[in-house]
Amino acid sequence: MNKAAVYSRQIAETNGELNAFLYQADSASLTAETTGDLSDLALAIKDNIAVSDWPTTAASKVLEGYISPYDATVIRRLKKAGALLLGKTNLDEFAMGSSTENSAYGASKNPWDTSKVPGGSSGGSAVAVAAGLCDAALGSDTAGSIRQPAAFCGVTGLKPTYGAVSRYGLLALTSSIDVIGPIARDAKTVERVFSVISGSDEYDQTTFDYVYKPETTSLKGLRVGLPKELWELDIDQEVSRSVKDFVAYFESNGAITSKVSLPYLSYGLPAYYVITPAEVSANLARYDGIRFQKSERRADLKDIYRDTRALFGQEVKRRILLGTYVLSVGHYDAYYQTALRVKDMIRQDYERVFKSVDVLISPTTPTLPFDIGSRVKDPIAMYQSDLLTVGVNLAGIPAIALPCGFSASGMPIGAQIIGPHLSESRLLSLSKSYQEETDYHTKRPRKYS
Amino acid sequence: MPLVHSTETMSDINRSEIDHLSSLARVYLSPEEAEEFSGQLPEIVDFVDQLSQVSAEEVSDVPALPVDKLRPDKPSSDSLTLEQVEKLAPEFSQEQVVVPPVLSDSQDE
Repeated sequence: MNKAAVYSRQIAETNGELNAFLYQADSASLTAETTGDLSDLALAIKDNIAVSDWPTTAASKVLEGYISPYDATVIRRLKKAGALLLGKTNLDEFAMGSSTENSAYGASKNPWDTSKVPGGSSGGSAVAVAAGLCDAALGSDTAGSIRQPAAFCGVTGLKPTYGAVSRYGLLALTSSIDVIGPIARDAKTVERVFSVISGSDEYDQTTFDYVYKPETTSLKGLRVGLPKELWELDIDQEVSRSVKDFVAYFESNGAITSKVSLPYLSYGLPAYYVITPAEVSANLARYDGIRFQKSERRADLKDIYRDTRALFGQEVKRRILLGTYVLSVGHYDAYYQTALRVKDMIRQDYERVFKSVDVLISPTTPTLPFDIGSRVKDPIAMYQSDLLTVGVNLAGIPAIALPCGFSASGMPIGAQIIGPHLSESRLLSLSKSYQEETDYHTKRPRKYS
Repeated sequence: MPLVHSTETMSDINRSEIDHLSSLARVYLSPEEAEEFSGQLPEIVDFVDQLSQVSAEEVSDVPALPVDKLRPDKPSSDSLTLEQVEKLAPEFSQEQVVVPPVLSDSQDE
């Protein structure tokens, strides 16, 4: 039985429990159109990325039944490289959330313990990789939505530099920050997918000329910074200990660590929760019952808007209203303009720090995976999941999350390596070195080995 | 810099403001949602109000967008075909998407 057929069957068998997939390709159509560098890989695609003739729902009722008329650029590139696409994965609705509980089609479950969240918003993709339902997956990361679920599910996820991967065909959340990136069980596979999907695209003016070249980064003499503002946060002890061991690995191989400070990082989360709602209120204005989905005929256009947009979930509605508020007269300067200034100060903080260090290391998440239902009613508690990841998004720089240990209760813990603009080869090289000498990334959830 | 999660709110995002925002954004809330949001939204605004601690002098100006990379202003030949639009539109007739009138005689908002 060929691999795609095996994956197909496993997806069908596990989806009732894990709910990783919102759409599964017809197994008869599971042959790649061409052969190429990724012919041996079967991928799952986060359902906010357009795949031609497949549904794209963004895990929202507002797009129920919508069939994409075109391929996102990253999809075109994957198909051209011979990759097989297995289906679309679950996410928090329109990528707003950190647990996949905001999906209108049910939460995904963490395969290591199905009472826990897999993280979000790319929860379905992380679950699919961790449970062995695909070779790799695409996610998107705006405040940590690739890295946090990768950490919670014990897999490796890369958030590329903003502009390194085309956003054409990605349903926009925060256009100035969104990035598509790969998730897989090891950095080698993440690298293979990244090298195919990255690069300039005439359909996305925010991309630039970039041809990925793997390079080996030596650990001896590597300057590693430990950001004070991240390490001093209230972080679970087991998480902290595992990531300190991760740092020790680099030190034992000749890396030099030092404490660094990025003072504006402390304003990262508030700045993000001004900028994202502002852009969301603009980006989601297009979901009007006419452009992207069917609606019932009404006498008044406003009724079509009301009936369609009433279908948004709570978190989406909250952010649209917040965005409308912070962009309105009387609030625009105090909130939105200030947030943009703070975003740039954070970018400058990182730039300054990277003059004296080569990479930064921190935990990816402040906690272990939390119980399903424990935060979804408290938006601010949910937002705190992004404390360690959001700074990188505001600065537009790359970061990778990879497994570095397990809690006493058997839950995965992920470390985060952050690098300067376009340093993906450095992050991937260091991750590959670590994975050559450790085996955390080879562990599988008992039920899904 | 401790992050504050306060229950005391100073913002003006009260129930009537929420109704106004809801109408502006064309996002209609059920009475239950409006009630819940009138508790949650002021808390979130208070949370982001931490930005007010950053004084205007200490931060740089908003950086200008790079405008050297714009594509030439030439229409692309790539487009949705009429057949594709017909499949996607809620209603389609004579090669056009059918929608209710945008302008009407009524004065109400």
